[in-house]
This record gives sequence, C-alpha cells and structure tokens, in this order.
Amino acid sequence: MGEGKTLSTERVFPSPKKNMDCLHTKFLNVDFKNPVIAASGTYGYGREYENLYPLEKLGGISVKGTTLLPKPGNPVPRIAETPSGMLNSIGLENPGIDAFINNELPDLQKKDIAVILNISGNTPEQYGEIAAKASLQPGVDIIEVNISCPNVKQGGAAFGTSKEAAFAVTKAVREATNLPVMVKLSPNVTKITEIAKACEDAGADGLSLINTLLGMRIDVKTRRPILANVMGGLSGPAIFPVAVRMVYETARAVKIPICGMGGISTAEDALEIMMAGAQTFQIGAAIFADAYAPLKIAEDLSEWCRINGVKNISEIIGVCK
Amino acid sequence: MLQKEIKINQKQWLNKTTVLFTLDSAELSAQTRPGQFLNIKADGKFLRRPISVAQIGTDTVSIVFEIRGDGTRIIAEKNTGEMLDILGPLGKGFSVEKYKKPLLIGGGIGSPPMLSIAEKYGEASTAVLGFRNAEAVILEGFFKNTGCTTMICTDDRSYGYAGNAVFNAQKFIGGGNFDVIFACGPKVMLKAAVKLAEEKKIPIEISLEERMACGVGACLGCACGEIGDNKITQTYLHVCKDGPVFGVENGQLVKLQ
Repeated sequence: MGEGKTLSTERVFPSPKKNMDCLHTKFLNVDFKNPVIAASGTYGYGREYENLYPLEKLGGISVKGTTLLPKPGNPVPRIAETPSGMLNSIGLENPGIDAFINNELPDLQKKDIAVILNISGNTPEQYGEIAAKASLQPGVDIIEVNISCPNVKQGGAAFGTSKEAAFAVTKAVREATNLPVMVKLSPNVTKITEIAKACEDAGADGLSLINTLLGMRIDVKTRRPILANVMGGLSGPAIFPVAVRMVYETARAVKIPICGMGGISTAEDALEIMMAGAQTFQIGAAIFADAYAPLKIAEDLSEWCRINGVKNISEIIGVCK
Repeated sequence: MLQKEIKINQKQWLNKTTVLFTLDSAELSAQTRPGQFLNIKADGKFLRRPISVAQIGTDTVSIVFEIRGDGTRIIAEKNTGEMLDILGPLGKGFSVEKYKKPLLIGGGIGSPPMLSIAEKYGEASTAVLGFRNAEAVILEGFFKNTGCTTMICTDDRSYGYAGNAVFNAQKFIGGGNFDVIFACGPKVMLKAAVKLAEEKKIPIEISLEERMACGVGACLGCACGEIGDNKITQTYLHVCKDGPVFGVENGQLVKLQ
C-alpha cells in the first residue's frame, strides 16, 4: 500500500482508453467492472446521459425508485438549491413496476452493467409483490429496498426509522425473491446501526447508505417554504461527512457488505467512503453539476491505484480503523 | 448534446440587469434549435442555471438572461474571453419547420427565445414584445434587424404601445393571417396567449420554465401538468426533456413531435 499519494489535478479528460481492471469488484455476488454506481433518482433508467457517453462505462445503475402502481409525484417546486447541495421532493414519480419491466428492463438487460432495481411501497406486502414481479424476469441483478424516501407520506422513511418496520419490509422482500437484497437506509434516525442490524437479521444480503437528510428552506420574500411539499431530502457534498460517519459505524456493526453514498463527487470522496467500509458506492447529485462525474471518478480511482501500487481497489475497503 | 467549456466572444449589457453573451462554438450551434436551452454552471454554486438560447449563428450561439439571484449574477460577471461551462442544447424547441407565418408573443425576459425564431422567419414573422417599462425594453433593434415586424409595448405606457403583449397582439392578430402563435413569458401572459389562440383557432406553442436540477430528464424535478397551476397529472411531462416548448390542446400541455 502506498503512502496515499494525491491525484494530480492536471489531466486530460476523457483520457485515452486505459486498463481499469484494478477496479473490478464483486458485490453481493454480482460482477461490477468498477465500483461506481449511478444513484437511484439521479440517472433515470440510464437513457438521458447516453447522449454524452455509453452507460456501460459505469459499474452499475440503480434505477429510479419503482412502486407497484404508477406514481405522479409531488407538486412543484420540487427542487431547491442549498449551500453545497440541494433539496429535492420528487415524491417517487415513476411509471410503476410493470412499465419498468416492459419498457426499460429489456434495453438495460442488453447492457454490460449491473442493474439495481430500487423499490418502494406502502406496505411490506407491496414491497414483496414488486420484488416477486422483478424476479420473474431476467435482467435485474440486485434489489435495493428503499425504506428511506423522505418525500412520501406512506411507507418510505416510516419503514426506515423503526427497527420493527425495517425488519418486516426486509423479510417480506427476502421471502419474495432469490435475487440479492440490499436495503437502503435513512440517515434520519438516532442509531443507524440498530436499523442496519434489524435488516441483517431479516435476511438482507447488503446495505446501501445514506439516503437524503430531511431538510427545508424558506423563501424570505414570500415567507413560505420553497418546496411545494414543504420539506425535502438534502443531497450533495454538504452531506458527505455524515455519510462517511454512518458507513464507518454501520460497517463495524454488521457483517453484510455496504454500498456507500451521500455527497460523493470526487475520487478522493470515493476513497474515503471505501476506507470507511463501503465495497461499492453510488454517485447522485454530483452528476447534475458534472454529467461526467462518474467517469472521472472511475478514471481517477484507477490512476490512484496505479500510483499507489494497489492491485485491486477492494484492498482499501474498511482500512480506516 | 455536449458538456463543455465554451468561450464567451462577446458580452453586451442590454440594460442594468440583462446581459447578452455570444458563445463561440460551431459544434453547439449546429445542434441548437430555437426554443432550446443551455444548463450553465455558476462557479461556486451546486446546480447549473437553465438559460434559453436567443440567437443561433453559423458558429455561435447567444444567450440573454436577467440577473435574478446569486447564480445568474456569477454568470453575468464573466467577461469576454472567459469560458462558460455549458450542458446543452437541451429540451425540445419550437416547431419552426411546420409553420409559415408565426406571431411571436414575448413577455419581458421571455422575449429572447423569440429572437431565434424571428431570425429564422425574417419578414414572415411578427413579434409583439411586452415589458414593464421603457427601462426593461431589450432587443428591439435585434428583432427589427431580422426583418420581423416588431411591436414593443410597455405596461406603464412609457414606451411603444400601451398595455401588455397579449392585449396588443389581440389588436393586430385579425389582419395577420398567422398560422401559429409562439409565446414565451410569465405564466399569466401565457394563459392569456393560450386563450387568444383558442378564440382565433390558431395553434399555439408556449415555452415554460421551472426549477430544475439535471436539465436532461433524469431527476424529474421540473414536472408540469396543466398550464398555470401546480396540479401534477398522470401525464409525466417535464419542462427540461418534454419541453420547455409545449403545444396546448383543451387547456392541457401537449408534447411536441
């Protein structure tokens, strides 16, 4: 292991094709060509940014949060900027699991990329039903159980803030599918490790964290909340230290692997979250500021491995004691 | 679509708070259509700012925008020769190939997108542009230079015709033989323009704005439903990807082909 040499800021992008084998990762028994995953809700179904570069440059994609029936989402404004980040209150707008299976999955399945289906429901049974539907089709590699959406009244964060509810939802999904199950945790709790353990006990194969932090902004001119839904989820670099802390704590509390996320926008951030204990990580809001962020991070990580004599990026997982 | 740093080769203040940048990129201009927008990075701010295109040259694209907050101020403070980090062109533009004789209605900072249409049609187009007062009037000479019949009006009667843009458009529309209305401006103006189009049985296309993050249809932040209210319908239309230009049928926004 090297002395943690820092990356040069002088470089050409996109750079000539490089061997990035050092980034190959196996996570929940699924092959990832690199540990970079587009976070749910920030990358649609992978079509939008294909005007700039192929989706297959990424290790994986976690698709837009999917519910049993179509969901129109919340009223606008749904977006508010914050210092080093943003609030969103989309409200899980999505076309429903059947539309996903019929219209999006066939194209995703053809690509050399790990497909993570992010699911959300109002009851544990609904989560189970969606997972069962997805399992009947080839194409989905991992199910990410969202028990942490702060923007919907029913379900969402209600499941992610109670041990019992988190256990019940995880168990329902576990019993409905043979696919790897990863539960996405909410940071809006007193002890994230308790919820993490409940998910592990219920049979989760892995965890992803953190979802957004509940926040709010007020327009001082109108004296009203900026978001129509009053509150929303905070993401972006502002929440990164919280994510590092929670991944660090959780990695020490459970035996199952972790996919880290929350404000990652550079390769240095990615290294931090992996050193805290994450095996893979998701990039979200950073993509809005720089559409090439996931590619730059992958490229910089491989360069970091090269200059630090790291044969595979997995060597650094949890090295921070 | 491209994400790139592009050089500002001309900067012009149109009034105290409105600036025009001409951006030097043949690659960008070749892809851009009237009504599309760029999502522009403001240094030190997290989200990009969506700004619509005002002119499309052979190897330049120009944008006109008003300082509305910190982000637009940061962008406006850039100077000639500096680089602007843009993502674009984004969204669907106006159906300029489909119609022959458009009436353009622009309200305030909604006027710049109309200029790129006037450039396309020249003398075949008529523009009615409304502003708050004489100080707010922008781009009059630019419109006239295209050959477009241009009428400027102000709410406070301090310049040009008196009254708002739709009120004045109503007076001229009868003799114009227009086959479409293209409009951009505040929601109340757009609602009035839609009503006018319905009365005269002329198709209309309107350009909307909404707070957005990605600009490409990934985050779903900029949902829109019926025109003029907050109601989100099951139509799943989004300003950035399905718009910003929409048709209107029976009070409902319609995605253009």
